[in-house]
Formats: sequence, structure tokens, C-alpha cells
Amino acid sequence: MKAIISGQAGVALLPDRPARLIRIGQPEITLRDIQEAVRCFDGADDAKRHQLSDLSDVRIQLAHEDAFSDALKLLLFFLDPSESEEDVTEYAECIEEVIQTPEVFLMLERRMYSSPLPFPIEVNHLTRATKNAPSVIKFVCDIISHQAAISRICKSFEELSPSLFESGLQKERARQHLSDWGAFLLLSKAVAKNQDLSFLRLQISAKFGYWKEAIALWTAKIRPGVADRSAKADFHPAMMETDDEDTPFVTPHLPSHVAYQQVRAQQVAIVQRLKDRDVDGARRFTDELIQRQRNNSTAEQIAKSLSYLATQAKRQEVPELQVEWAAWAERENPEDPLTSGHLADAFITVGNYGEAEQALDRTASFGNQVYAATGRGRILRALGRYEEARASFLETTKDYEDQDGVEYAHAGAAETLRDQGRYIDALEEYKNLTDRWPFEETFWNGYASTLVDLGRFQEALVTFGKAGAKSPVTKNGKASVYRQGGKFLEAAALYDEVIEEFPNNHVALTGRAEVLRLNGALEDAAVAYRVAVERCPFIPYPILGLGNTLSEMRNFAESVRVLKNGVEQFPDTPSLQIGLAKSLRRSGDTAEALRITDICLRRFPADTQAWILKSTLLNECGQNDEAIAILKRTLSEHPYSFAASTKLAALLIECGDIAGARALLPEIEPRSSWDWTRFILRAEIEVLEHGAGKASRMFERGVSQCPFHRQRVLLRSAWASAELGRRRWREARRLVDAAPLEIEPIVRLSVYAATHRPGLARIALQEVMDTNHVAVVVNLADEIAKRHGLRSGKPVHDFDWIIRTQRTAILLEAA
Amino acid sequence: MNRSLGSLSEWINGSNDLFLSFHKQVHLLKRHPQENEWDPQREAAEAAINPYAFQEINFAALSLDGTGMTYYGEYAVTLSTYSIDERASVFEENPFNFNRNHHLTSGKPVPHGYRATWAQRDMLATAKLHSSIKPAMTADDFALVLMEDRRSESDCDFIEVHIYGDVNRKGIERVIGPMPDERRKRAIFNQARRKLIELGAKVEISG
Repeated sequence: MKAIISGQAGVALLPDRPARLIRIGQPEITLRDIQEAVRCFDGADDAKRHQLSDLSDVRIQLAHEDAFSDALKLLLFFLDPSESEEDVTEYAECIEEVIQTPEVFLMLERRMYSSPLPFPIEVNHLTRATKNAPSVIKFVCDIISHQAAISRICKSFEELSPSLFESGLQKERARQHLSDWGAFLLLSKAVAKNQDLSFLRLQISAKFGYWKEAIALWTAKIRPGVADRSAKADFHPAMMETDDEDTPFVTPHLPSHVAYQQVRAQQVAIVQRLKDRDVDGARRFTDELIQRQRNNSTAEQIAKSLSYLATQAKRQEVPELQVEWAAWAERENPEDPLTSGHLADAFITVGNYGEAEQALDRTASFGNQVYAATGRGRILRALGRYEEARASFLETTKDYEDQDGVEYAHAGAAETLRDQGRYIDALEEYKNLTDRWPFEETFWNGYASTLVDLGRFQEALVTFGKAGAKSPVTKNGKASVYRQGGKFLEAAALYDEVIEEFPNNHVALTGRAEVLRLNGALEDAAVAYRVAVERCPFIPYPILGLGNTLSEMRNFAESVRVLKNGVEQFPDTPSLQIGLAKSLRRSGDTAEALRITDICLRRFPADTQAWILKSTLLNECGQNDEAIAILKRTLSEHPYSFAASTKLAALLIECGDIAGARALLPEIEPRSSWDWTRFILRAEIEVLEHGAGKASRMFERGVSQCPFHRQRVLLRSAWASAELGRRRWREARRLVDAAPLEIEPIVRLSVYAATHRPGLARIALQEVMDTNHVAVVVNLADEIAKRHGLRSGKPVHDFDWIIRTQRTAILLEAA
Repeated sequence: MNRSLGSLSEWINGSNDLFLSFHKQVHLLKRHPQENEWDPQREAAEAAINPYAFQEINFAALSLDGTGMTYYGEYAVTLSTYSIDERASVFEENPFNFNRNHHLTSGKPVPHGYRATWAQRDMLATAKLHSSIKPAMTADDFALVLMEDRRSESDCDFIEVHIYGDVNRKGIERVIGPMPDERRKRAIFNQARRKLIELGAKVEISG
């Protein structure tokens, strides 16, 4: 139900016929004409449109707006230094009553944080008058303490050019909407606390997508980038708490309670330094602790302390200290299989598999066969030797069926099935494991992750819920479901929760950066990925994400440099090599991309992504049959590979096998980015089979509903291209003008050139030449430029060829 | 001019002395016409009556007893004659009703005989209401002829005053309205009353 409500006028209007007018405490009036209500709002500048469920909601909202309007007035009278103390007391008590309603308080808070106070406030004078209004004085003190942040945020907004909003009127309108939604309030509080703004920026941009560019500029002016953890307040060990009461630290020469307190503080201090990635500080604190312990403890106790700290370093993802302390623990107590086992685990984490093998040998020789066998399976899996890894895990489960720790071999076996793309088998295996170990969180998480692999997001969320514990793995898993389903705010919120507790958690850091990337905030995503690279130097995925993001930003030189360094640092990670080859391809160096892909395939012959890339490169070289054969083979081995089936469908469309392509594109409600990519392909089929007219409904739906930036850009581009193909120049132009940054430069060029905008077309042409080096796109741009006189030379193709080639380029880019 | 307490307080306490017309509010960024459905209709209706000056017009009603159209707000603001007499005209009725009754659309000329200058307001009132005037009527009765008694109803008939330009709060001569029951509204009313008295206006509390 639509309602227009003004608190100042104390009126709500229901404009749907028959229009009705509502005043507080009075029966509704049915109007003959909506115009009869017009002047009831005269003089009120707070009329707003609301969407409410029923009449009682309208009355509640009207009451809130009315109370807010009164509270705002009273608050300004309250702060006015010319008012008498008696009146100020009355105002305070009235406000105290009103702000007990949380909705009204929030509205007032949002408004008061939207502009700085116009005059200095005499707090002592107010405090005397507010004996019976404690909430009011607290609220006012809060506002005063945030004035610096409020002024900064408002000044940044003022400095934005009205052209970013189209006009001054629109800018003021944006300001009011942002204020009502609470953007000023949230930003002021975050700035005052020196918090990271990127999640907030994402929230605000998601809510006010229309002003995304202005919001990005505004928030960047306030404070760019991701928060610097070193800027945190001084650390006080006594104020901190750990989640682990079971400390192994013992200092027997002190009375037990004092010793416990001291050890606890020291332990907290070390964990805090791990969180801050203060490696030297953590090392120094540990040295001191072990030095003290050495006077009173046995080697076994010291080794336990060090193993415990190594575990903490693992949890906080500081693997260099994990290795260092695990190695130290083993030196202290070399015959304990636990110490060598922890060391092997640390070596596997940093990819030092040779040393890990040796440590596992020692673990086995001192009696922990299960751990050693499972560790060997992990190494095989990390090296991409999935068949051998799975065989190894299965053998371990058989050989040590009833021993403690065998469940991890079971988990390894199931995870390897996921690596192989055998999701249904993995699901079955996890089902059995959760039946057998219903309280083992790892298995529920694995089960849920497999459901995510299969695109069954809703079931995955429920299953993550069964994992129960609020561990970072579960939270990251849930966040990944939200991220892949396009629910970016929910995902970012969960990632932020994990990062708050585990600031170096690579899954959360890269996941959060990925959320920004998928949402189209590429600059922010690159910053977030750089933070992840800095905080997780032993993990390859942040580097991969950074390289991919730079490539998407068309900064190919930097992307190739980052990925090359990554490949050197992590030679056993095929995804980095594939990322490098993809970036080389997009930079126009197809030969080098093919060479890297072949090297990767020789080393990792089972890697699906490498085969898919190979097929893309062959397609670009005109070897479509070979490309299709590769994809069909890959799909027969990995029937659930979204990437392979989508790529194959795109190739089949290009080759005219529409029936074959359609069979690969099930008509499901799109949720994930893959679903949306398939939606683009289905729309292309619609264009080919029934003409662009019918397809435009699909494109329109896609552009308005798709949450994924990249897919949205491709949808809009495909739509504009289809309209051009129908010779509907104005429609094509409208689509480009509506969101010029959400359209492929080659399509922008095509539209501007065809609609006689040579200046804009030249800019688009330059952009294509500067940022796109894929041969088909470069040739297409050249042809368009010649056809429309932007370049000298005679065009060799007709208009239909341009449209056809443009759509092929979009298909290639999509898949 | 009738206003709600909120709007009246806003006018009296706002940083600007002037009560701006709806269209000026839009231009000075205080209101956003795209926020609601009727604003474009409003513009069309007002432009039909005052095609060249509609953006400058503020609206009031002609009253003999100082209490106006409470349908538009409980507080009746009487403006001093000196503040408006050289820039006000009177019109037969509310433009929306007039357009409907006379099938008038934007671009068509307004028929003659329904508008007068401020100084000739009595002539317009006589032309419109002469048939309602009876020999035995007293001065109090005339007030109810000029503006019907059903003042809280949307279709109450009255003669409209069109004031060209902004209305300064210093031009407020008198305000008549109720003492609110709610404590917070009473506080706002009392503050407004003090301000109005400072401005030289009279404040009367109605039953």
C-alpha cells in the first residue's frame, strides 16, 4: 500500500483510488479527488512516499513521523542557547518521552548526524536541565563527540559536484535519501571509530545504485581503502579474553593463580600479535615466555607450549611462525609424534612438501601411523594428483578403520571427490560421514560446500546451519553461499565477522574482496585483495584474485606482473598459471597464453580449468572443432562443471548448433553468476530463433535483476547490440546513455558511431584500443571506425557482419 | 492561511523569514516534486488559473471571522492587510474545483468574472454570494456565507486569495488555534506563541 506521509503536516495520504486522507486520531476521509489533499501538505517539507502493508501500518508510520518531527523541533529548541532553563527542562522531558520509541530515536539520530550543529553547545547548562532526561543528555553528548566526523562527512558530500547527480536538485534529493536511510549516521560512527569503510560503501552503493559513482567518490574522500589494523588502540592484555581456557603454559615457581594470570596475559598478548601479523612482536613474546619456562619446566612441557602456539599461529594464519614454533617444539621433544606431526602440517600449509614428507616419516616411526598416512594424502591432493590422493585416503580409512583420527582421512577422500568434480559422489560420501559422525562439524561443512558446488544454495545454507558451531569455516561457507547467490551485503557482513576475529583469515579476506569485485567495485576489490596478499603471504589465492581483478580493470601489464610473481612463488598452484594465461590472452598475447596453458596441462593434466582455457584459445585461433572436442571430453569426465558446459554452449551457438547449445542451458531461475551467464546465452538463442524483439524482454529482466556486475554489463551490451541489429537506434542509444559505464566499450563505440555522435565514438574507440587486445574485438573496432569515418580506409564488411561479430565477442566474453 | 502546528512552527522558527510558495520550495531545494503523484497535477491546475505567475503564488482564503479552512490545518493565520494588499487578488473558488466546474484545461483562457483585485474583493464576494444574502442577516451570519461552516471538510466553499510573492512571518497579524492536549505539542505551541508575540502577532486559543 502506497502512502505519502508528512510528520510536520500530521497527514497521511493514500493516493490509490479512491484516495484517502488520514490524520492522527481521526477517522480516514475518502476524497473525491486526490487534488483535495494537495494543500494539506503546504508548508511541510518532509512529505515522503512509503510502501506499507496495511492501514494500521500507515497509522503507525504517521505516528512515528509526527513524533519525529516534534522531537526534532524540540531538540533544536533544547539546544538553542536563548531558551530559558525552565523551557529547556520541559523540552528535554518531552524528548525523553518521544525517544523511548526506537523507530523515532533512530530517525532523530539519522537526522542529527546528517549535518553539523549550527552553533556551539553549552553542555553544563543542558546537563542541569536534564535531570529527568538521561537519554537526552547522553544522545546530545554523543552527537557533540561525533561533530568532527559529521563535519568531515558533510563537507565531503558538499564538495561533490552536482553533475554527479545530474543536477543540484538531484544532489539535494540524494542527500535527503542518504540521510533518511542512515548513511551519514553510519559513516560518522565508523569514521569516529576509525573503522574500515569498504563494507559500508558497498551497503550504501547497493541501496543507492543510481548514485553509485557519486557515493564511491564521496566515501573515497572520507577515507580510502581498507582499515589499517596497526591503527588500532593500544592493547591491554588484561582487557582481552581468549577462547581457550586450556593453556599449557606452566610457571611452577609462582603461586598458581598469579602464574595462571601471568601466562594467560602472555598468551593473549601473543595471539593479539598474531592477529596483527606482528611477527617480530609475537616471536619476542614467545622467546620471553619459553625462556622463563625453561628454568622450571621439562622439555616435554616446553614442546607442548610451543606446539600450542604453533596451533594458534595456524588458526591466525601466520604460517611462518607456525613452521618456526612447530620446528622448535620438535627440537625440544623430537620423539613425540605430535611435534613432528604439527611440523608436517605446517610444512604442508606453506607448500614445502619435501620437508613435510620427512616430518611425516618421523611421525610414523614414533607411532602415529594414521596421522602420517593422512598427511601423505594431503600432499598428493595439494599437488593435484587427485586419483592417487583419493586412493591414499581410502587405504588409510581401511587400514586404520577404528583408530582415532581416521575421520580426517575420510574427509580427505570426500574432498578429493570435490576436487575431481565428482560432486554427486562427494555428496553421497558426506551423507554417510554425517550419519556416522553427526557431531563432526567438518563433515557438515563439507556436505554444505558440496551442495554449493552443485548450485543448491538453499540446502547448503540449511546444512551449514547444522554444522552448528560459529566457526570461521562455517561462517565463510555461509558467506560463500550468499556471495555466489548475489546477496552481497549478507556475504560481506559474515566475512567481516570472521575478519574481526581472525584478521588474517585468507578465505574471508579473499571472499570479501571477491564480493566487491562481483559488485563492480573493482578499485575497492583491488585494494582489498592487496590487503589479503599482504596478510596472507603464504596463500596463492589472494594473488590470483588480485591478478584477475587487475585484468578486469584492463590493467594487463600489472596483472601479468602480479600473476607471474605468483607463479614463481607458488609453482604447484595451477590456478595461478591459468590466471596468468588468461591475463596474457586478454592482453592480446595469445601465443604466450597458449604456451603457459600447455605447460600447465603437462604438469596438471587433470585440471579442468586449464582445458577450458585451452579450448578458448583454440577457438580464437579458429580451431573450433578441436575446442569443442576438448570441452566435450572435459564434460564427460566432469559432468557438473558449469564452466565447461557454459563454454561449450557458447561455442555451439557460435557454430550454429542451437539445439546442442540449448540442451546445455537448463531453464532455471538464475541465482549464481554462472546461472546469469547461461541466461545471457539463452537470450542470445532467443535472438537467433525469434528475433531481438522477443529477446529484449529477457535482456530487460536481466539488466534490472542481475546482481552480478560483470554479467549485467554483458546483458546490457547484448541488449544494446540486439537493438542496433533491429535498427532501433534511439533504443540502443538510450541503453548506453542510461549507464555508460555498464556497457562494453566496443558496443558503446558501435552505438555512438551508428547514432552520429563522432566525439563520443572516438573516445570509445580509444578506450577499446587502449584496453582490449583480443584480436576479434580489435578488428571489429577497426571496421566500425572505418565504416563511420572515424578512421581512414574502406570498410570491408557490411553492418550485419558488425552486429554478428559484436554478439560473438560478447558470447566469448560471457563464457 | 491555515497551517498544521508543525508547519506553523517551521515557518516561525525557520532560518528564512519567508513562507515560500510550493514552487519556490521546489526551486530552493526544500521540496522534491517527484516524491509524490499530485505535484505535477497541482502544477497543471494552478498554471491554468495563473499561467504566467503560478510559481510565485501563495494561497489563502477570505474570511470575516479569522478562522479559516481547518481542513488544511488547525491554526488559522491572519495576515495583515498592509503586507498583502498591493499584491493579492481574490478568486471565485479553489482552482481544482473551478477547473472541474468550468471544464478548464491548461492553455485555455480563464473566463471573465471570477477574479478581482484585493481592493475589489467585496465585488467578487457580492457577485458570487448575493443570492445567499438575506435581509435579516447579522455580521456573524455573513462570515458563514463567505466561508461555509463545514471548514474541516474538503469541499467547503470559500473565496481564495492569491498572494503574489513570498509571505514574511512579520506580516502575521493573528493566529487562532487550539491548545494541544499532548505535552510535547503543547511545548511546541507555547514556543510558537512566544515567538509570534515577539513578532507582534496576537495569539488566540480557540475552543
